[in-house]
Parts: sequence; C-alpha cells; structure tokens
Amino acid sequence: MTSRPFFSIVTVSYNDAWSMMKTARSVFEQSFEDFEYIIVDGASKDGSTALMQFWQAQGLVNKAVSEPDTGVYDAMNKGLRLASGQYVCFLNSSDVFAHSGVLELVHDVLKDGQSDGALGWGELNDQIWASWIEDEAFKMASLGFCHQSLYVKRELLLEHPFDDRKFKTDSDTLQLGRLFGAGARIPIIAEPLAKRGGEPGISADAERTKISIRATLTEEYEGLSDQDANDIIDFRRSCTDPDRIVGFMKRQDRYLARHVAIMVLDTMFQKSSVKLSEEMCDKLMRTALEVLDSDSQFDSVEAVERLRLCQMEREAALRVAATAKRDLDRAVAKFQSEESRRIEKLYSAAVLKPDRTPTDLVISLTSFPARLKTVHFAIRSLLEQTCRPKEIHLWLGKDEVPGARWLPSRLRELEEHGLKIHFADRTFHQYDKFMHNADLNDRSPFVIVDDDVIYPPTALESLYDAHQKYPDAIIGNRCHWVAMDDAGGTLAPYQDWTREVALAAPSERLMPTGAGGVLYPKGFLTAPEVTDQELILSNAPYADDIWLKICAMARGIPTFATNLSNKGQWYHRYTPSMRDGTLMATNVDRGLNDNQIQQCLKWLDDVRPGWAEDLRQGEVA
Amino acid sequence: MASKSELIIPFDDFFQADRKPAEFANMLGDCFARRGSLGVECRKDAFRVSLRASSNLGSGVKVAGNWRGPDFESTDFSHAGTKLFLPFLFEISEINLSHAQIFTLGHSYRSLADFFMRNLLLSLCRDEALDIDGSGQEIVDDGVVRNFQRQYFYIFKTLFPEPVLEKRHARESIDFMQANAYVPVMDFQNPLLRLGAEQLRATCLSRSGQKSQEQLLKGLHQARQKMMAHFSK
Repeated sequence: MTSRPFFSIVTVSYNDAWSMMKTARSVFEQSFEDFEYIIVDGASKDGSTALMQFWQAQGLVNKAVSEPDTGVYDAMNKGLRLASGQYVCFLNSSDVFAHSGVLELVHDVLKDGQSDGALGWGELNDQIWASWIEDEAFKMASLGFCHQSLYVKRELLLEHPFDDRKFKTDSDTLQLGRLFGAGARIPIIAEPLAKRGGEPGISADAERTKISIRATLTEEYEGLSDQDANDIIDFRRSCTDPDRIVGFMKRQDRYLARHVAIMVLDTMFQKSSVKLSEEMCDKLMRTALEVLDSDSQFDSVEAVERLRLCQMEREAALRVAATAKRDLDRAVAKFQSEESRRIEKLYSAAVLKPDRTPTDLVISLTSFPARLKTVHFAIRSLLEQTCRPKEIHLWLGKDEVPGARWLPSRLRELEEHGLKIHFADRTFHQYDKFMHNADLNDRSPFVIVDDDVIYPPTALESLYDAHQKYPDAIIGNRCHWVAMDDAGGTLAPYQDWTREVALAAPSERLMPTGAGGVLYPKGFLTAPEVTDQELILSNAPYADDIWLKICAMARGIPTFATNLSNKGQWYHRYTPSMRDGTLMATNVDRGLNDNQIQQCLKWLDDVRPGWAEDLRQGEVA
Repeated sequence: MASKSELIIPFDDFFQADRKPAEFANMLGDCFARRGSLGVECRKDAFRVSLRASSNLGSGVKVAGNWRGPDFESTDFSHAGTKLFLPFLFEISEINLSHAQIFTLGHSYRSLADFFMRNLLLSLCRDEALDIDGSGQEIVDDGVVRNFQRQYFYIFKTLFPEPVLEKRHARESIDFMQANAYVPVMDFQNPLLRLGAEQLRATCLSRSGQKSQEQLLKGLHQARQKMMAHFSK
C-alpha cells in the first residue's frame, strides 16, 4: 500500500511559464519533503508544457496536466481531484512560499491530526494580510485572507469545492467561509506563509471582483439587495458611507449583523480606514463590539483580543520590514562612499583617463526588485572602465518592476551617462539579459554581465583585447574547466569542475560564467536556438550560463579565458545584506545545475552527436 | 587594594569584549570576597556598573525596565519556563545579581553585556526568584536597550537551539518570541519552553476574558493607532 503524502501542493497556471519557475523554485526549496507537487496548466502556448516536462523528468513534479479549462477555479478544482495528499495548498503561478521552512512549520501544527487545516498570513507588495478570525464571516468580504497560506484536508475541500462559475473571483474566501460554517477547525498561524505574486490576477479587476462579491453577498445573506451589497463592498474597499454600515449592524438579522461587525473591525486596521475620523472609528468599533457582545453564540472577548494581538503582531512584522529597509539603505550609503573613493583612486592613479578608448561592445544585464537599490554599483563600475562600451542595456520585467518611477534615483541618474533602461512585458528572469535584444549581437560583440558584481576597471578591456585576438571565440573573465567522467563519454558533476581557470588558447572545455562578464562574438546570440523559449524551458530554465555554453558546444565555438580568470579576488561582490535573492542556492545546492546539464546534453546529442569527442580534444588544446 | 565601587562604561564598550575595563575583574573579585552584589543600569549616556558591599541573600534577581506589551505582571512569571520569556516581554535596563547568582565569571572574550545577560539567563534557568520593577522606568536610549535584549537572545539561542529560531533575523525572532506569549506562532522542541509559552498564553487569555467592553475598545484603539502610523508615512 502506498502511503499518502502529507501535503499536496497545487499550482494552477495559464501562459505564465516564467512566473511558474519562481513558484516551483520555492516549492523545490522546502525543507519538509513529504509532499507531492501538482501542476494544472490551462493548455498554455508559451512553453509551459516544456517546463513541466523538464520538472517531471527531474522527479520534481509528481503530476502535471495541460488542457483547456473554464477558469482558475475550474483548474483549482481539477488540481484538487488530482491531489492525493492529506492536506492541500494552492500556490498558484507567480506565488511563492514565504521561506523554505513553511511546510515544516505547517506540518508541526497539523501533525497531531486534531485540526482540519491551518491558515497562515500572506504578503503582497510589503503589506501583510493578517487573518485573525476562525469564522464563516470570511465570506462577507475577503477578511485579510491569502489562499496561498491555507492548508485544508483534501476530503473536506472535495465536499466544499470552489465555485467555478466563470465570473467568480472570490470563490476562495467563499469556500473558507463555508468550511468554517460547516464547523471545520482551521487554526490561524499568525505568520506570513506565502507571498502573492505581484502580477495582477483576477482579483485585480475591480469591477469583475465587485460583481463576484455582490453575487456572494446576495446569495449568502437573505434579504440583502444589490445596493446593500455594493455599499458593503465600497465600505470594505474605501470606507465610504460608514453611517450606512452602522445601520447594517443594527439590523434585526443577527447573522448578517455579526458578519458585518467582524468585517468592520477588520477594515479598521486596513489602510483605507486612515481617512476616517477618530470619532467615526470609535463609533464603528463600539457598535461592532456591542453586536458581537450581544451574540450569545459568539465569544466576543476572545475574538476581539485575538484581533488586537494579531494586529500587534502584524504591526511588529511591518516594523521589522521597515527596519530591514532602513538597514539596507544605510549599507548602500556606506558602500556608496567606499565606491566613490575607489573610483576616485582609479582616476588619481591614472588607471582611468577621461579619453578612454571607445569600443563597439554592447553590454546587457538584468535585475529584479530585491537588487534595485544596489544594481547601480555594478553599472557604475561598467561605466568606469579603461575602455568605453558602445551601449549598456538594463532589462527589467514590468511584472516585477512596473515602470521608471519604481527605480531608485541613483539608478535613473545613470541614464545621463548612457545607460538604457528597458521594461519588458514579462520577465524571463536571468534570461532577460539577452532574450529581448539578442539582435544587437548581429552588428556588435555582446557582453553579458551580472547585477551583483563590482567589475574591476580593466574587465571590459580584458574581454575586448582577447576578442581582437580571437574574434570567433567566446571570451570569459571567469571560466570553469568542464570535467568529464572517467570514460570521457559525458560530463562529470558540476561540483567536480575546476573553478576559475585560465588557458593560453581557446578551448571547448572552458565554460564562462556571467559573474566575470562574458563576450559573445557577432552573430552568436542571433542563432534561433539561443533564444528559443521552448528549448530553454525544457532544458535549462534556471541556468542561462549553461544554456549558452551548450549552444556554443552545438556550434563548436570555443571559449577563451582571460588572465583575470584565476583564483584572484578581482571581483568584488556586495555585502550579504545587499545580495538578496541569489540564484546560487537553487542551482548549486540542489544540484539543479547537473539536472539541467544532463537535460541539455540530451538535446546536444541530437544536434551534434560528436560533442564529447570535441570536448576531449579541447583538453589537448 | 579595594576596587572601585562604580564604573561608567560607554555604550559601545559595553557590548565589546576587547573594551571591557580591567577594573571589572577587581570589582568582580571584591563582589565575591565581600559577598556583595553587582548591578548594571542603562543610563542616558552610558552603562553604570556598581558593586554593593552586601547582598540580601534569598531575595530574587532584580530587574527593572519597561514592559513591551500591556498584558503581563511580575506574578505571571512563576516558574523557569515562563521566566525565560521575560527578557522578550520586558525591556531590561537594570539588572542586579547577588554574588550567589553569578555563575559565569566573564571570560576575556565575552563582553560586559554578555556577562550580565548570561548570568541572568542562568538564574532564570535555575528558577531563581525574580523581583521585577516595571513601574515608570525612564526610557533611555531605545536602541541600546534593544541591543542588550539582543544579547540575551543570542545566548538563549545557543542554550536552546530551537529550529524555529534558525530561520529568522534576531530582531524578528525576538518579536516572535514576544508574540508567542499571546498567540501560538512558534512550536518549541524544548518542553520547558513549550510549557512556559502555553502558561503565558493561558494567563493572557484568562486576563482578556475579564476585560470590559471599554477595555477591549481601548486596546483596539491603541493597536489601531500603531498600525495607522505605518500607513500615514
């Protein structure tokens, strides 16, 4: 008999492959391992299927389907039916777990089997949804609820599936309310367990959401008119017409009054309530407390105390986040002055001269929100080089950084020095470095760099000089020696490769890494396979360095390692507090590099069957 | 030669082992020789470490400071499990230890902050009696008091290597330790800590149950005011 996994984690997605990568990564990184991972895709056309196949081949995804559905809740119900775990959690595309210990923590709460589930808090854009009440009032108006932090027994969810009518956007809150109404025991875990993706989901469509919640309110609360429902929604959203809400709490319908009272108390801790006067807040809260106190079925003191304590906890968490931001600002300011001194010294020692040699190098890099405050250091170091690049391009995804006003002033200032900042509709993560502007490589050598390295002043010159000498080779300032297995038939595990080596001549056995800066000769990136999303997602979704190396192997293009590529300390990474969100943990620690390498080699076997022999010859070179 | 009976230690020196004044060793020796007591007090500009010639043996460890939350009283810390949580719920600006409550002598690689917090923690582990003065302490430099609290956390974390404390920054962990006295946000492996947290929560809940509507409303207003400060920035 096969035992059931403790959790089923279900991700629902549609045409969102690149966001799904982020979600899946946070699932793979969980320290608790007794779970199955299920992906339900709505027949996407963006390469999602290739990505799902990649994960399945690695044994990271247990079940995956890709077929048309009628909407997100239909897909979630489908995921529910596929699930076999004791408890189910829906972590949809672009959502992530708050940290790698989430499942372990929830398991600790649920392992005694006394509860039907657990509900944690959620985060979105630095705000926290702090659930505090275990009551069916959830269906009143999304009381600070994050479905990504909800874990419920599978059988219970099957009894109360999502309302999958096409116009629905609040079926998750409605479901939770019904679960509580049916007597489910789902304790609150007062801690963020998930971060919702920044991309606008169905609930971001304000009008559609209003229609959906209005239907919930009029269907669930007898005698509530459309206008009543609109008033409740408007109050919940923007605290309009509070006196009318007081009126609702004084109605004879105690069931409705209690739910409105709970909604009012929750709203009093939301940003929208800032505009209310102290008197009005007092009136609303006083009335709500009276309503709850008069309900003999309800432990009002316990509920109100729980609200107060949860909000104190939420406030403390916001304070911690604010402190972390201040600490980062201080670290950046300190680093800024160190950098300014370093650059001044370079000028005073005449390492840098005003009339620097111009080159036709195009430089491209990408970044993401956690690095925005520090990426200007990397770019500044690329502007302060002994030879001058033709262009520097920074690519950001609009789904992560919506526009220029989200950028720190120090970064925007660099536009005056020639930096070009672009916003792609969707981020391809680390692949943004060349996916959007590979065509520039048709006319110029193209240099890919990382966003967390202070480049030494000769980094570009070093690449450029080597390019003059070996115009057809890839040039890397930091290269690894690719190890082969004893038989020489395939590659050895990534951890056995020799780090940071330099050779006298180009070799196919060298793999350049982005951290040092990599120069690609004209025409390399414009080969169609290099930017083929389907190929990338099915072979190396998390490793652009490896993919580019495999593309080079496919065409027999060798790599030359400059003399900077030895085990020196030439490149200066930022302080740990400034290096949030690194990919290294996923790629190296989990052995994903090896998985991706093996996957890529299967593709390489098809396009260049003799690659292993060529690599062995590279050893001789 | 008799040692000084008082040392004024700049804030930075208090937290650094290599800046521990040499006179402190003499003071400590005198404390034992005279069966006295040692105290530390966070003042406006510096810490004051003082030696008292005699100690009233049998009396508890004395701490003074300010409560971080409104819900606890001295009498709520009745056994070691609850006492260990005290420094997370109470910002300590003064500690007074009798010679019998000094278990570790302050190695050269440990700071004065470490000396006092380590001895306090060991006293709490031994379930020594506590004398808590939380009445109207002048608020000194908040950052310094919090650093002192953080020192306790680091020692606590070494003594009680709970997995839940591994995943967070110190400040965040301290906030969670405090929150845990109200709502169950952490599950400890150590039974003493589990029991202490449960007892504090039970105390908190029973006290809440006695609250009037006006008290509840007042509590909500206070919590809301703090929260709104984040939104009006």
